[in-house]
Amino acid sequence: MAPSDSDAIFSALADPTRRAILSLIGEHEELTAGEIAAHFDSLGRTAVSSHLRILRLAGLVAERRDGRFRHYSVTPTPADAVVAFLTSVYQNSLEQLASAVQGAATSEDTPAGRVEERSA
Amino acid sequence: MGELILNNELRLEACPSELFALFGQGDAAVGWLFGSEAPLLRPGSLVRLALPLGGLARSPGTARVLSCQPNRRIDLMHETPWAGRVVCRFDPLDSGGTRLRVRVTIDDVEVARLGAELGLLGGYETGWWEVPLGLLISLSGPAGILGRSTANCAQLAVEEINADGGVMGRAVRLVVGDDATDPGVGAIAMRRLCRTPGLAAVIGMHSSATYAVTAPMAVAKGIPYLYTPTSEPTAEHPLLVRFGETPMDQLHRALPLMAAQTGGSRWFLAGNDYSWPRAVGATARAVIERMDGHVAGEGYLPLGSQNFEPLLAAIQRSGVDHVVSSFVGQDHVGFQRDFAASGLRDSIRTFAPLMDDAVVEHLGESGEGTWNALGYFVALDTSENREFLRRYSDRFGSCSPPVSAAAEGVYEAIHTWARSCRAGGGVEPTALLSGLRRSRFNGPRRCTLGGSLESLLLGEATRSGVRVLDELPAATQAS
Repeated sequence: MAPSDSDAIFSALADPTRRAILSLIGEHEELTAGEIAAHFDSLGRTAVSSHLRILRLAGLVAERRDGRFRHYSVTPTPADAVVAFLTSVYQNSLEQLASAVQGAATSEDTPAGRVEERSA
Repeated sequence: MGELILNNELRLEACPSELFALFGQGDAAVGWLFGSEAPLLRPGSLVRLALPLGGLARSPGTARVLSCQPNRRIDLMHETPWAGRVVCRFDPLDSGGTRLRVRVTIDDVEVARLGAELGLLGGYETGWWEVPLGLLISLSGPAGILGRSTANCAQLAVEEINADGGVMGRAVRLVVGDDATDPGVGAIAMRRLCRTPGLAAVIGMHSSATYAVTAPMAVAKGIPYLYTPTSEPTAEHPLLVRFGETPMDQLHRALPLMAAQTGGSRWFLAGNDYSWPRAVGATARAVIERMDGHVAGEGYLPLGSQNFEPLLAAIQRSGVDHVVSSFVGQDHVGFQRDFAASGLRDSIRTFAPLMDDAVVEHLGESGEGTWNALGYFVALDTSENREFLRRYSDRFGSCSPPVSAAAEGVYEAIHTWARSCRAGGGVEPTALLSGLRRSRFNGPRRCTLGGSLESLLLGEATRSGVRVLDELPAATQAS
């Protein structure tokens, strides 16, 4: 997964409201913005729409238009997103460390400073 | 079982000892991992995290030191909001700088749980030969910092039940949901748990704000719901089984004892703003007025609060002798720390109905002298408790989060559930409920048939844990 995708996924999931919206959509085939807003007491339609846009740009949510309505569902390649999210959470912390202590240089053979592997 | 391994590597100009010294000082500018709060880098000691997962705010989490070689290596167990292993290695470079390698290992079960919580992966998979048992707890949000020992105790109970032949010849399989200390998220997590085919029951250890939303869902689905925390009485239904201490159980004897010790009569009631702290406030007022005391002030703040200054100023102005503090999780820690730092603790005693061994670990010396009455403290000196603590430590190691009253309550509820199913001859609701009336689990708590509490322990926080002062009858037993 390209670093920009990971960053977008991290930014999208760093917000508890967006995590809750994604979790809610995942419990249904499809939901409209109105149906999502109805689930949360303190969340208006406009706020829901702007959260949905960020989730859609991060590739986590797909949009289907049907007349006046837009229906939202979880995109079908979700497993990578969990890995990208966890990677970014730790990566984010170490990037902050590097910029705080300055003079940071990442190793040559791991240009993004990260390697993912799976072991069984 | 597979696992996800994340390797990070940085080459930094700072030398290993400089980097090592940065770790655990609570400086957010060096990132949430190195900027954690870790006053001691001893095996078993707590590491408090502030993760960038709360939107504009920081979101609390916990880890624990497994081992530490100064300037060379730090091994951590990440506990909340997810479980994992983190190893930081500091290698000196010829240039005088450091090659910092951070290796994170998260097992597949935990990755799958996180995926499910995020709505990205499907529901929980269990085998046809297993009995799925739901566990709804807080692993993230303000109450999440206390969640790992609860998850551990649930796991321990299920493993013990399975080692003893399971329930009706089938193995019990725990499926865990996180309410993120938020009723809206709790409802989604509960919906996901209830979709698990054949779900036998849900064990709930979370706020009563979540319970108000999730209990009707359990009733609508016909799923028994065993709710374990300290909580206010709510609407009754045969499928809803409550185990925890009520505010009256906790306060009716303890507040008069505290007033007798201080000789004071003025009280301030403070806490988070939802149903349970409000119920504690109402009960405290009744108990205080019955003993001719005076409630001089009251203040409630939303969950996730970080600024306690106006409330502390109000407490100071009120000239009280005691505070009843019903804050939750991270808010509880924040309030007590600021209360101690403000100097108010020197002249005002605190009764905190959620103060238990796990909270005391977070409070450190700022909790000293706080009282609470609960069904369980680690210091309970009985053979049942020594046996339970030995099993916990054998299973999770010496570097594991301390058992709390909340965690031990879940352990007993799951054993009580299994015994009731066996007594009732099945895992379906009718069998469970008929068995419940005839079953008792001989755990550390003093319980009657069906798990109702007989007596509570009066505890006082010290720097290193909770000291048991007395044993008090539950309100229902006393009247």
